[in-house]
Amino acid sequence: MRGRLYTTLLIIVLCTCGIMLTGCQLKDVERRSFVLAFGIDSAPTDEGKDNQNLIEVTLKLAIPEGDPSKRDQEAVIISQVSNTIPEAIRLLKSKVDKELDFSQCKTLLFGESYAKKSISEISDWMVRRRDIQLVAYNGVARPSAKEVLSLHPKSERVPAYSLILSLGREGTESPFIVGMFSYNFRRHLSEQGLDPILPLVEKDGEEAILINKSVLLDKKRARAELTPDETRLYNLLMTQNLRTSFFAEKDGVIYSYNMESTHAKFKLITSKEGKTIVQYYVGGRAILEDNNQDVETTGSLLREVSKVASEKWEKDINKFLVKVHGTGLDPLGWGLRYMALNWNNATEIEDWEKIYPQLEFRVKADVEIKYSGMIH
Amino acid sequence: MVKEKYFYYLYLINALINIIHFVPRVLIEHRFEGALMSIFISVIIGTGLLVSFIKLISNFPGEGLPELFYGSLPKMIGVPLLIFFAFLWYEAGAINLAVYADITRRYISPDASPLVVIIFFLLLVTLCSRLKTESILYALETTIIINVPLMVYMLIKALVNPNFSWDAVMQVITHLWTAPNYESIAGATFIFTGYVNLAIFNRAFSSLKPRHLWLIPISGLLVLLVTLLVPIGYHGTIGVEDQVYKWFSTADSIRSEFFLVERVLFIFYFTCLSLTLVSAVIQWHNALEIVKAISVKRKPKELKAASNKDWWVLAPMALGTIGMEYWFDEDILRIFGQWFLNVRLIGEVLFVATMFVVYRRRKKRA
Repeated sequence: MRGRLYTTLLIIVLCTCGIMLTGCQLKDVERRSFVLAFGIDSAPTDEGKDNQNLIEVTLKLAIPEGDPSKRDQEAVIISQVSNTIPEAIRLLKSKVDKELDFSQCKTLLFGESYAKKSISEISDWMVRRRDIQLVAYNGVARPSAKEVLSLHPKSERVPAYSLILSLGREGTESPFIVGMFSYNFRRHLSEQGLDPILPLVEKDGEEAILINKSVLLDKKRARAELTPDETRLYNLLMTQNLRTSFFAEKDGVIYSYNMESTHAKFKLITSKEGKTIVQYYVGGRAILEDNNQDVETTGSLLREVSKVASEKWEKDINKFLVKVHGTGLDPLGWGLRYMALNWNNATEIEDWEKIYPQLEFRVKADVEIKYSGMIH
Repeated sequence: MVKEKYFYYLYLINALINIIHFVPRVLIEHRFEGALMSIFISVIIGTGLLVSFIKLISNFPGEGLPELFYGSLPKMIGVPLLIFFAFLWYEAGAINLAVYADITRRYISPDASPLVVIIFFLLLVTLCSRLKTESILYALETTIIINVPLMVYMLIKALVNPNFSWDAVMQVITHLWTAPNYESIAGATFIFTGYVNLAIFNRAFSSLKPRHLWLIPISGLLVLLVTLLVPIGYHGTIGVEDQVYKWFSTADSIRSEFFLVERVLFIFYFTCLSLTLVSAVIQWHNALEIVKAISVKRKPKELKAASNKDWWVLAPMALGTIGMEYWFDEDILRIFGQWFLNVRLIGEVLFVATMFVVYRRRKKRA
């Protein structure tokens, strides 16, 4: 009997403890301000000071409110100059009256000047902190992360949501945006034979952001930039079923076509002279979108335009690959593929370092424009 | 008395909780030094031990280890062996709980004291490990049925991700022909260890001749390959080393846009939590029952299911775990866990060997 009494008492005590422990880590939602985007810039250094590695951390905060459908969700933007990120955040805590909560922080932007110096600190911080998701989006900001975060686009209902929608392809599915999650970025940074690439988020006027370029990095800092067209080709080579349109010119007429499905893969081939060739096979099915001279579309015309389009792809992609190769970087993972297929593990890294400068590229494109749309 | 399918649950829970900490860690540490080869070797060793133990114990339905040792082994040998085995079971549960308390503190509630977390875990585990053997098996079945679909969902989600790097996986596979070492074999065999729980749980089985035993090596091989290769596909061949809890970081990298919560980490956490707790209950139940059987002078079959004297056994076990959580830091816990894995494999071989001796002696007597 007494045993049962003790058990009952114990259960009651347990339940009471349980009630006290509920809630969002002991702090209510009203007492938190959610960090929705994080930006880091290298701070302008004063001439007199010796510390040259000052950084400026910018946070875009949302304050929980009743009605999320209204647009008057003003974001709070705070920034702080310091020498390390945690120190900056500690200092920022005294600028807000609420607890900073990073669990919704899905965008991390590195200012251009910061990315050109060194990105090792931020990449370490973002994967080390447990409350920042590994599925946060990374990007390089121009002119600076602070200015990009300060923008408030008209279409934006929740602060920083436009960045999340476009970088994550949840809203717009632009072929010019390279989506890069934190874990993926980190993998690119650590892997041998693979270099990182980040989307470039630009300030476009006073109220808009523009994301259509990308930045190539080595293991430490930003090194080169890709134009919108090159970024699209990168996406074409790295993803399956990219939604985009291209155009081809035949007999002075410009035909635009929209890709319905795309595929791309590459192989490493050794040529007879012992050179290593990166052989790309790309292609896809497309639908004709318009031609600017009212030419009647026939079956043979579709096939001819397909042929012209394929040739244009081969030329463009080859040019793109040669440019990427010229930077000395490897964002497409040729080196990793070489090592993955090479069973000679002891020397493969040195072998690849010898092979890389002499790489050659071949592209085989096969665009099939299959349909003419609704009219002939 | 329960059906034979419960044997598979006992195997499955051990195979599933291995991804939480030590097995992925030791395998990934040796990914360039024979991890793959040790996976293949451990499938052979693990299946061998498992099948021979099943064949031996199926001759004695309804009897646990203490009853089997009683009379067929001299007390001088039987009792120390039982104490050694009970200690292994206790450590298995304690390490699981200590690691999970650490994970909870890291991912869910960094402000909570780790002691509070572990005390709550311990309350649940100690209360439940006093239950009847059959009840624990039923609870195990429920846990498995709820959690396995979630695990499968997360695994599929992980593998269909376009950012999953098959090249990185392939790069590790090219290190196949490297000689393995004992540590990684000891780690990899851990996933087959679920059968040792039959030492006590055999009391609940009226007959134990599970069908489809060929499922064990195949599923074991798949589980081990997934354990090793999926984190590599996410974090890369080099970067995977940086992660402390490889599978938690992997779960955090999986994104499920249209599920209840976007961050898969939380679903993964709760799945692993229930599996860990149930597994700790099973392990401590074994340890408790063995200690009870030793300490009672009469023939162990006359034992009552649960008595207040259990707490004299459970209290030091719980205190030991709290001490582990309090004094061990991340690195000592890792070394301790690795030692546990190393000793465990020897203990397991010893366990099956003793079982064989018992079988021979019983047969001679009959």
